[in-house]
Amino acid sequence: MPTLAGFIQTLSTGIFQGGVYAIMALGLAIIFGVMHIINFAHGEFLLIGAYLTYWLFHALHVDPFLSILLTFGLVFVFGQIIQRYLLDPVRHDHSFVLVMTYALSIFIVGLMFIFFKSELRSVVTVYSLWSLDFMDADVILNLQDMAVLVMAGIFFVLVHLFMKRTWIGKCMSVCAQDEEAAQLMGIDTRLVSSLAFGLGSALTSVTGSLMITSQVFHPGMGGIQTLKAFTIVILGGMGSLWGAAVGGILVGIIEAVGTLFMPGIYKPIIGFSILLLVLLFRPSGLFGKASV
Amino acid sequence: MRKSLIMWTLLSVFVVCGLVSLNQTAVAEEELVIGCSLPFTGGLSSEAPYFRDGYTLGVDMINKSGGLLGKKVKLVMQDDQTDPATAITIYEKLVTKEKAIALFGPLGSSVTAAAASVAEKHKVPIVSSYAAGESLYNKGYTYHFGICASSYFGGSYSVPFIDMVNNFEKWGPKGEAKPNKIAIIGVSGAYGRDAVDRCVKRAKEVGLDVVHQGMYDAKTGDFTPMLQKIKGKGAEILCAVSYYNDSIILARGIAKLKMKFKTIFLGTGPDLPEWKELGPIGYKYCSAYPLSPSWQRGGYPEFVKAFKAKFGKDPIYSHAWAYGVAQVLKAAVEKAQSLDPVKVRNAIAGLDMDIAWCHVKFAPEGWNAGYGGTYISQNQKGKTVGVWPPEVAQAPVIYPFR
Repeated sequence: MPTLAGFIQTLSTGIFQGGVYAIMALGLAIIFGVMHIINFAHGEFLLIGAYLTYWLFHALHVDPFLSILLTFGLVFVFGQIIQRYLLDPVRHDHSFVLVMTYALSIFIVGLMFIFFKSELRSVVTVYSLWSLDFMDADVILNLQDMAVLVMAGIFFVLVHLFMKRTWIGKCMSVCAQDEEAAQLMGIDTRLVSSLAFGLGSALTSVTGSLMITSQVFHPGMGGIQTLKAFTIVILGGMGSLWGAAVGGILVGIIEAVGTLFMPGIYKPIIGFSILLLVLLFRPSGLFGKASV
Repeated sequence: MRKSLIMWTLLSVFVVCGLVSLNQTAVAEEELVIGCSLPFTGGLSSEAPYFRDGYTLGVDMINKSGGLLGKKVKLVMQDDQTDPATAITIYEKLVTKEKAIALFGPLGSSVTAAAASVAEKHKVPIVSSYAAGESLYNKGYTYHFGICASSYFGGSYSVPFIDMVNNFEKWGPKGEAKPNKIAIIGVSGAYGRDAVDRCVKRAKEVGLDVVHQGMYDAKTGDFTPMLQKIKGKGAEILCAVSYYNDSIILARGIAKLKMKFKTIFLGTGPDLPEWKELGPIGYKYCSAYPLSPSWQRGGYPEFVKAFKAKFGKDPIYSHAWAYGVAQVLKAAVEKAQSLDPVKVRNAIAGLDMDIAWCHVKFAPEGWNAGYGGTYISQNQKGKTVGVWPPEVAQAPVIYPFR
């Protein structure tokens, strides 16, 4: 049985990880909620964020937390271009969209291999190991992890306010509910879709920027992140912002705590077990089909 | 308009995929094909570039020295994603479509076992460089040869560390008590499982208290829960049968949790150039060093010179490992004076020679009985230094770890 300190430490690890998962799933929830498409390249946008941060840190000595703004802006624009010129032309055929996003994921992975090779990449800052120690240093809360969680929270609040308080956000909500009705109301749904894809992709890239401060990356790990994002979004409820946040935190905690009671080798099974259980017993997810 | 966009998109994808897999280009008919797969993606992706360069240089060496029986050789290399099922598909294609006359092995015992099964089926010799799991050599493959130590020395890349700890009085600070509580963990897969079993057995033989034994999945990006478990059990020594990817994650987790181990061994990583990215948190880790610091035989100086000329940097032992595979094939073909796979296979089985990183003499099961043994190195302020056994030690062990 784990000690109390061990349990608290593991729980905190799960919460920190879950916060990052939440932002990753938030991006997917927005894209699915507004555009009703499955984006197979979701994890690759996370790679873009991670590698941009890596490059800015190592080549230009830009702090990873500062690079988030630049990453967000660049991927927001890139995402819009992708939506406008690759996805929009085939938006009426879902199978085409699936193939296109799959091709896009291969394309991005290929580029990453060319520019960053297959080696593991990470960002270690001077403050990477700063921490608050409790219970005779048996519980160590890493300050960088806490900062990542705070950043995740800030992004969630900003996105929530954007969706509820801004005209564009409200347009996205309308499109999520009924695209035809939105068009009849004079909303430029193509523009809204483009902005939604840009926002969703940018949020996912932010996840990559945050994750590379505490994990290692290689170009082949986008696929597993895409699956994880789908697991969280399905757990929380497709298209639900709150669902993505709560689902992310839950998956992070369940993964971490689960490995306390079973060998670490089974960790990948935990996420997919959650997915199967939710699909079997509550296919609409924790927050039903709440719209964006 | 829409169709043209789709066309351009797909075309771009094909171009990029084509760039990534330049090594898979069509082979001129007059060239002999040697096929191999490497894990450019997946759990062992970090190791792949070393073996790519080593294999490539090895094939260059064959061609520069006149090829195989006067024929030029082409290396066809594909990505197996560190996945046995993918490796089977690739090696089937290499043998049946590319008509490979011989195969170089992939990395890792599980994937190599998959490749060896294909080689066995088609009776094409395969020489592997990075597959040490005992179970690989107990399957009865007669066309697979590994230049690793393997079966007889199973887990030997980690076991010498246990012996180093057991001989604490020979290198530890005077007056310091010998550490006793050890945690032994390993990456999932045939090699990890076999090596952990060997290490646990050895640790118990020498009287160490094994407080934790376990396996982990290399794809897991965070080992904090597992490390927390080990911390709770009061382990003083950590012995991890790890590859580079997981070593990096382990080192970061150990630093983050401020774990107070006395000494730590990681299978692969602390001795590699990329380890410097970790900075000071990567110091003091011990690691396996399978190339004797004094080894100069088997064309090693020529290999180093050629490597520097081609890649503009110093080679590490993994490069020599892969290069040695090409040396084995060349020697076997010259000995057989034939490209017939059965004759080449028999020639490999009878080799008794030096290669660029060790001596080669294959046991009937295919493992390299000529291998001399593993040394223990330590990362000392970014530099890899041999520390065990005493006769090859370049510097004392820095102790304790933290």
